[in-house]
Amino acid sequence: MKLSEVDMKPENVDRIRAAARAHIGHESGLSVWERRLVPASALAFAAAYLLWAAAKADLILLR
Amino acid sequence: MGEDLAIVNGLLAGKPRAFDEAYDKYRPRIYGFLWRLARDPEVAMDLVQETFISLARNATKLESDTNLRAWLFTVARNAYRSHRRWAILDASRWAVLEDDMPLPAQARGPDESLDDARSRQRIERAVFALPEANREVLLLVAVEGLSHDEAAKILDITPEAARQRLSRARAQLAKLEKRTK
Repeated sequence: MKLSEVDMKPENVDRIRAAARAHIGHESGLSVWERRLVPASALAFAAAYLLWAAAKADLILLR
Repeated sequence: MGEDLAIVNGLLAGKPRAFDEAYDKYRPRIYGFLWRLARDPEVAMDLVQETFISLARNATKLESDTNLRAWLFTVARNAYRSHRRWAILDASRWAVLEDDMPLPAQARGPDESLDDARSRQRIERAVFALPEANREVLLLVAVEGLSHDEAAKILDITPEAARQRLSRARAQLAKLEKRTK
């Protein structure tokens, strides 16, 4: 069944596109790359801490 | 469908261009669907915005095999239902088959005769006058070309119920169309 094609005025098309586009990546307030960086940084920090703790307890020799 | 999967992959990768593609492809269809559901272009516009904000916010959380068309119609329909719950019912707005009822653009297509244009307008009026439950299934299946199964999922009913509603809608539409001749 074919009905009339309807659309908004061009200015509304652009306004809504801009309004919606502004929400891309906003689900956590971070961009995609930032979201990937957060777990990577946490992992690096944990590894460094374990290394430091092991060295302090004389379990490994860092020098 | 393959084109939609590429769009979904782009959305998952956080590419704004993929969002634009989805917006350009589905905006007129979602707008038409909401226009005919809400029978109000301003409300339809607000709900289109809500629908695409939801897409932007959920872009990177979609499943890679998401049926984008069905996803957007589901969000649009839910946005409409949520709007309707809060809208104050103005009885005069729901008067059916009135001559001054705003209808979608009535411009004739290049190959369309005046009779065809009038007939299309009659169908528009008849669609507007259908009960909402029947109108939405008719818009999804007969106008947008979704399958019964897809429409059933969007409407949260069984495929059999979708078939029955569609059949009722077609019968009512035929009657209403005759009445407006």
